[in-house]
Amino acid sequence: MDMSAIDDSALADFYHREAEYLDDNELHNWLALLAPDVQYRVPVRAVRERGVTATDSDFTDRANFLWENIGTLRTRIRRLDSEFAWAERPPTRTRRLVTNIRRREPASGETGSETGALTNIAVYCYRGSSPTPVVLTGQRTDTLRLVDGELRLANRLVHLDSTVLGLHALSIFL
Amino acid sequence: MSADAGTAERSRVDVLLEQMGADLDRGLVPAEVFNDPSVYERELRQVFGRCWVYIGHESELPDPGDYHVRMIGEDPFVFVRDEAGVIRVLLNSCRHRGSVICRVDSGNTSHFRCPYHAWTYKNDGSLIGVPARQNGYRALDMEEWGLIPAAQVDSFHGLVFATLDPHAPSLHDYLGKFRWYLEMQVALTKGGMEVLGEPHRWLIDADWKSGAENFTGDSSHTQMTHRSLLEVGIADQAGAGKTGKAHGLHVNECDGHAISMRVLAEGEERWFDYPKELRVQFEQGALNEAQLDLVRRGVVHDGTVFPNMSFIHFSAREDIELPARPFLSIRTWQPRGPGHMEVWSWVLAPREASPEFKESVYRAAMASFSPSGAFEQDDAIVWNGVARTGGSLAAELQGIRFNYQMGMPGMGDAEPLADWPGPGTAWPSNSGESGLRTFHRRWFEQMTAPAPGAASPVEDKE
Repeated sequence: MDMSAIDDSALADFYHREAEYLDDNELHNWLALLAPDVQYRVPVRAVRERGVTATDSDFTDRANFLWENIGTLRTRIRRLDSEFAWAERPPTRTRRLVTNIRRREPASGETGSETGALTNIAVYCYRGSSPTPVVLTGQRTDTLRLVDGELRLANRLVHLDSTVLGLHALSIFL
Repeated sequence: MSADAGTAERSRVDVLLEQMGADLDRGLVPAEVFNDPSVYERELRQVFGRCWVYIGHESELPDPGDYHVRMIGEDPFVFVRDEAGVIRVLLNSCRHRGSVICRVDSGNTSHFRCPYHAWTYKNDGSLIGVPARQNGYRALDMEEWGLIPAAQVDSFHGLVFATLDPHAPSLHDYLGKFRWYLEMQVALTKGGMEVLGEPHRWLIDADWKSGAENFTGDSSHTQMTHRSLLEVGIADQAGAGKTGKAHGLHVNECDGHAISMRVLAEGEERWFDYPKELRVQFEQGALNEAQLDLVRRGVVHDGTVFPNMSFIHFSAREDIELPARPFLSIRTWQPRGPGHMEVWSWVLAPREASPEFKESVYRAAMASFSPSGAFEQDDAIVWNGVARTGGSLAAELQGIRFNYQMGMPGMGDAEPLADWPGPGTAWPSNSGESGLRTFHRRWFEQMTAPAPGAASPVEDKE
């Protein structure tokens, strides 16, 4: 089985399942969706002057809110398993809306086994008794890989729209 | 607001401070100082309007024209290196009619041009262009209408501070004897430290003082607030375990500033887990033997420069299968209204370190002290509660005082060291809150200080 067998519906299924695991706090199931060599990064946005060159960006690769691999993600999730990880005791109630799924050529060029995908996300976060959610929105640039017939996340870059995080702790995954 | 209401509000903060003056000697602080509009209004003027506050690091401005927008209290300033290489701190406001001249966070420019009427300034702040000058501004004194600089700007080993008070003492005197401890953080090598990347910025529903006081030496919170890290092995007992005389040192009464250190026994080495190639350079740096010893044995150093700049020099594991990596984090706790703050946090590494090592420093810092950091995630939760109690009606009606008595005479089992080689009062135990008492004493004296310009030497006494 190669990537040509993964139609848009199968791609959407992957993202819906991933969002379900994260919203339901099934973080070990989420970990199982990741490739062992996964690279996962959420860079810091700083608003910069535009227009000097076409490639001007608010992002650099030097500052990140999350800059993870499988070992660091395992460590984070193992800590969150502790009953003393106060930021998630009680857990943040989240609802992830994943939309605007767009297929792209994979950066690797391995079109048989990998595909690129862009998604928009809106993550509604409720903490404590506040009726007002903190909403994080952004675009994810992913590489998905077929491993033994199953889609796995091999690379993710999340470009948040906010510069200052409104969330007092980024103890969730995007 | 009516004049009566204004009078009532002023008297409220005065009454609160009067009570606090008496409470401090007993190690008590009124809950309301952590969330009260009249206290907040007073501290913006008395504390942030008059103290030296941290702006940024010289390495953030490598080239002429580089700039970042930074805060003094709630006011935005442009932190910029001009064409001659001089670092300036300029109010982000056009002299013409007050519009913001710099509408982004960062950039590089030779000139700032106001989008309102095109008044144009060089990056040293001088006014060089106004529209229709020949028709409408023939007699305008251009020299008089440059951007407003902070009253004083100075730096210490790359750390740039500014104050809005022209009568404030020099930065040298303001940092005072605490410079001895700051040197151990930022003058380890000949090249000093370098900031890596842009700051993390995030909002917490807590008062800025909760962060500032914590970093002076709240050593006893780690084993509860950060217990998950000890369980999983992200940090070890020496770094974040129970307090006492085994590893802990507190230094307070150091010209209003304070530091906490966890160090190994004499003769043992930790070096914050810096690798050998950098340790060798530390021994050739600017530190004297007593300072070097505290770095050699150093597990963690954390402290606060009054009012709102803190640092932590530490090491942690981002992956529990791998060794701990060192890092230095510098942060400011920016006031954002009563009971609210914005944290700005920077990661620093010795300038001489390799690019690969700097990346490991960044990752270790991000994984422990940042909004996603394993330590910092849980601090935000507990500090929220302080502001919530501080803003409660019960705090006012029932006169709630918070307890800072840990380690006070009659409470603690430690006495100040008589043979301490450094400045300040040193305690051979971290089962205490002496640094937090220094912070609140300093805050109280600043809040009640006479008007700017009047001679008022601030003595730091407990």
